[in-house]
Amino acid sequence: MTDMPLLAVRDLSVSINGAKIVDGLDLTVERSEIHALVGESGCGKSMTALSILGLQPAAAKIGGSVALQGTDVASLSRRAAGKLRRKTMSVIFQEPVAALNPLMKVGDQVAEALIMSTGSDRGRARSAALEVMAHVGISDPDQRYDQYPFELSGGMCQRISIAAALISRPQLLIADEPTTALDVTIQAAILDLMKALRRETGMGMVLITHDMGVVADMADRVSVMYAGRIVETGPLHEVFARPTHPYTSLLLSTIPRLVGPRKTELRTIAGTVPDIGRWPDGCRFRTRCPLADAACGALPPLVAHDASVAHLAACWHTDRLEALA
Amino acid sequence: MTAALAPPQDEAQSELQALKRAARARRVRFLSRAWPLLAILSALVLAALFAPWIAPNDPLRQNLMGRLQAPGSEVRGVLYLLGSDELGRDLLSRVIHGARVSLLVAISSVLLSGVVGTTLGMIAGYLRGWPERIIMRLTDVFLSIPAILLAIIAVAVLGPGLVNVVLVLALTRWPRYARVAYAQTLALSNAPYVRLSRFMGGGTVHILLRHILPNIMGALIVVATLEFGLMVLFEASLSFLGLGVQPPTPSWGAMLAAGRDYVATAWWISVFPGFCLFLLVLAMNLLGDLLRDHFDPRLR
Ligand SMILES: Nc1ncnc2c1ncn2[C@@H]1O[C@H](COP(=O)(O)OP(=O)(O)O)[C@@H](O)[C@H]1O
Ligand SMILES: [Mg+2]
Repeated sequence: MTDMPLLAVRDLSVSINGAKIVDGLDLTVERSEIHALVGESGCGKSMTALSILGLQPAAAKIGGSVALQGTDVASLSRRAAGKLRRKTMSVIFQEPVAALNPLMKVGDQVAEALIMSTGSDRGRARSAALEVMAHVGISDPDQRYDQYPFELSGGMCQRISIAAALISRPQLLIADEPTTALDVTIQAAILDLMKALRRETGMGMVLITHDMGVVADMADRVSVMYAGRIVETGPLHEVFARPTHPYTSLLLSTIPRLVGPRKTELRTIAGTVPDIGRWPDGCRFRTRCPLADAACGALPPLVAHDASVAHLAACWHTDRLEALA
Repeated sequence: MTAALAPPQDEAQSELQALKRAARARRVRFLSRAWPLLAILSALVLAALFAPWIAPNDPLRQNLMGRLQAPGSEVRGVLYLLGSDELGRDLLSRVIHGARVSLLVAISSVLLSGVVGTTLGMIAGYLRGWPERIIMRLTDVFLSIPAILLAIIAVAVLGPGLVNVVLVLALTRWPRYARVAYAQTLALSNAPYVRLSRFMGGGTVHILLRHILPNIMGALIVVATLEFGLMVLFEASLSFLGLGVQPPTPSWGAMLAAGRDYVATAWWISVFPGFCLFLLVLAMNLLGDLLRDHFDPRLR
């Protein structure tokens, strides 16, 4: 079973009150691979993460399958599925301060993650917490242990969350916009930490972000999401070198260039992701796409367009993409 | 196993200092405004606790020679500092003992309704689904009936007495706590740390007690403080109507009722217990307002 991917999501769909928030999504994470899920806000990235974790809202209907190291969680009882998820995965959320209970000592929150996942006793959990806190770059963990979240900076709180996620030694980390709320220098430090941890532990990662710069810095593989669907997926260098979907190339053009000819202003994509229920038939990006024409009224399949079989895109007009540049 | 980049310590430190200063300033401001109220309340609580030792006379001892004495008069060696009532009982002693009933009823009914209401509200807000529908519909029904009317009817059915009064007050007032606990729990149940605990296998009881209750306590204490004043008044009203604590146990509400017949000739019988009621309720309500500011300045 070791050759099975850590995470294999097949044809995942999530609907709430008839609105399909996620639609036919595939996502695979191999051992020690960072797979970035990128897209603008409102695309359904967080809902995807919550469904993988089994934390979707009660009203959500889930279709498709989520397999962890080859075991489909739907084939297990709810209790067993939770156990498998806990054993395999950990999660960190976007809001570093809100992710912690404001009235609990931060050290206890790290320790509790171990107590709840392994039933470890308090004393052992405390020393394990101190160790992992030091490991994620928290100076003076003995003193920090007894502090409360409001006494720490956002970056520190995110380190605490990371420590709590790592203490149970997960093989897969689901990180939902882990650095979005942090300022740039702290963001870089946290990303470096996550890369270092991946190197040391070989854990895989689903890294959710809307920032192509973060993707470029971190990912091995990237999936671009738009309005509940994956529109392009592939190895990082291929997607970045030859973006095949107009949405991807527009996202890429939003990265500020540090080398080469500087553009005077940062580009953004006109418009916003339409609200659920207002998604057009066929290609959902066509309302904002500069290449859209009558052909886009049919839903384009996610297929390979060049030599690489791992690089897929869902667009009828990949041949006209140069027109965008 | 080297730690990645160290965070900028100074910035975090100065931010922390500012937060600590702000917290201290808030505490000082609260105490500087609340101390007179706290003093009044402590005096009343002490009077209730040590009533048998503080009261100069037996509150039940009648003296037909010393009926309706004005404050400050002395009859056969007994000084009636606040006067005496229609049966010649020392009013000061009765007022002091009356504090016991008021505080005991108010504290027990606030605790009982608070525990019941909070539990039901948290369950409704966290579990949603049918428990939410049943519990919240029930609070709507209870809140649409005038509480004092409901209390009067219930006591009339159950019969008067201290225990029944407490039960009835709890029965009528739990929806206030349920509403607040429900709204707060609803808001918190999608907090990332609650989600995280759920992911880690935290059961409903664990999450409610460890993650939600402590974080909604501030709001509940504010409600409880404001409710406390109301409970004192309700108990007094029930006793005034003869449905509360039964004679001869001294109760401020019953004393007011007895004094009604003598307002023209012996004003002190109703004025002193009335003043104590006023003081207790006012102090508690003002304290509630201050606590609300203290816990959540945005509510202003
Ligand atoms: N509990 C929910 N009930 C109904 N709709 C929801 C719920 N949570 C999120 N949504 C909707 O799902 C869509 C995707 O949200 P989300 O997954 O948070 O996007 P992202 O993380 O990509 O910004 C949004 O349009 C949002 O309004
Ligand atoms: Mg999100």
